Amino acid sequence: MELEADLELGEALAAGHVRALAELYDRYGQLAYSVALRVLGDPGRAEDVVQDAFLKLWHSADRFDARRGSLRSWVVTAVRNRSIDYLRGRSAHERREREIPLDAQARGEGSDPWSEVVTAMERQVVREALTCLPPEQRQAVELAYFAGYSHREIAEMICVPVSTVKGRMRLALEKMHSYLQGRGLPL
Amino acid sequence: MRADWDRLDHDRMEEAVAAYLLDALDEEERAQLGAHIEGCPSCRALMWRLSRAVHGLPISVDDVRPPERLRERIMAAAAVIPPGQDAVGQAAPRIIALPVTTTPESPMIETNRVRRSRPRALAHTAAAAVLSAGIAALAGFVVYLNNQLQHARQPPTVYALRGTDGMAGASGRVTVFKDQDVAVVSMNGLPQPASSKVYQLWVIEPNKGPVSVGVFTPDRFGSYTVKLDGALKAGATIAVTQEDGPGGAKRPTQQPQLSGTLTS
Repeated sequence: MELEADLELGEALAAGHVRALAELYDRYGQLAYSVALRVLGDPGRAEDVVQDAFLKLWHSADRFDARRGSLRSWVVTAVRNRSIDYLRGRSAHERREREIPLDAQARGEGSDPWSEVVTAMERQVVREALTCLPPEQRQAVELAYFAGYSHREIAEMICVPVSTVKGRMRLALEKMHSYLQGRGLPL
Repeated sequence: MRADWDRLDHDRMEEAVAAYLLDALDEEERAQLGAHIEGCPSCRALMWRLSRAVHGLPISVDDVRPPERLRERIMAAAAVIPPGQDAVGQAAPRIIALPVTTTPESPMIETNRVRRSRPRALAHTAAAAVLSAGIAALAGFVVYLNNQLQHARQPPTVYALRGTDGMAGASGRVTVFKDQDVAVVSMNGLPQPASSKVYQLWVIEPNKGPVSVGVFTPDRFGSYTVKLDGALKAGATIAVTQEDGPGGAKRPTQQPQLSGTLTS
């Protein structure tokens, strides 16, 4: 179902229909902004990165291949990568400061109640999967994915061998995959 | 001996798959692993499996609603640089710019970029010519405008267009970038006009007559976006009527079926 919807929207995007871009944003703009804000910790910069990412996708829509991944992954990956690109241009000191959890963010109000419910359920399951990880494995994953640190930087930061960091990352993703699969989460 | 080395290499690569998916490898390692995976079904399978977990990571973040202006910014920027054309591209824009016509006695639009002075009587009959001129003028202007839009200090103001009667299902937005003296009109849900008919866009200033901006036909999704050069005055109404094609009418022949006023 999602594949068919993605194919249709992907084709409309590739054909250059502005309304398709609006629909893409309406579907995934909030998630994209949330990810950018999580990575960057700066609402203004998050806006810039999301705009930049959507325009990049708009201009390269003909490269989207629904068989290789969903539109959601396509959008989120673009936003995450651009956020990290920006972040990697900053000093490590700034990045550590940015890791302060975002406590005071307003909760979103999705325009589609059903979609919001589904996303909330998925979020709950993924958070459970992360919570189940040993702290050092979760730390390795989050420092890499959301803060943009390389495995060498993480190893240096927490004073362990690089091979240990790689091992923790693999174990973490293996456990997460098992947990998500066990809950039937279609990612 | 060679098999032992291959085994060691495979083990080392396999251990790096998770770091690869988390974008935590340096460029050299990334290239090595990419080459290895090409010929290693076992590592490809592992990558596919672990990628499911990585796809879940962004869903875990706190859900935060973006500001309304972000959608407008993206749509406005997309409207001036259509797909397939990068910042230095030469392709003709797919989105057509319709320069607002002016009259000597009552300048409708004030602009310091493209100031037009055109007898009102010519405004409607010259619609096709105006469109062509608009496209040519836009080719070099879109890059400048996009940069301006992205770095605008003053947030755009958005006004709604609402449909009635035969266009009750249609809607639209007028996004005014005061910094740039530019407005972008985006319309959705437009029914296809009747045979031999076209839609005509009008700007109506308070206490003044309607001035035609141009004619158009929506795409197959019922959408259309135009860029208006020049400052729209507060209180102006943007309106759409259905008129005889191909050139439209001198004055509206019906009540606007889609319209909105730029309230101050």
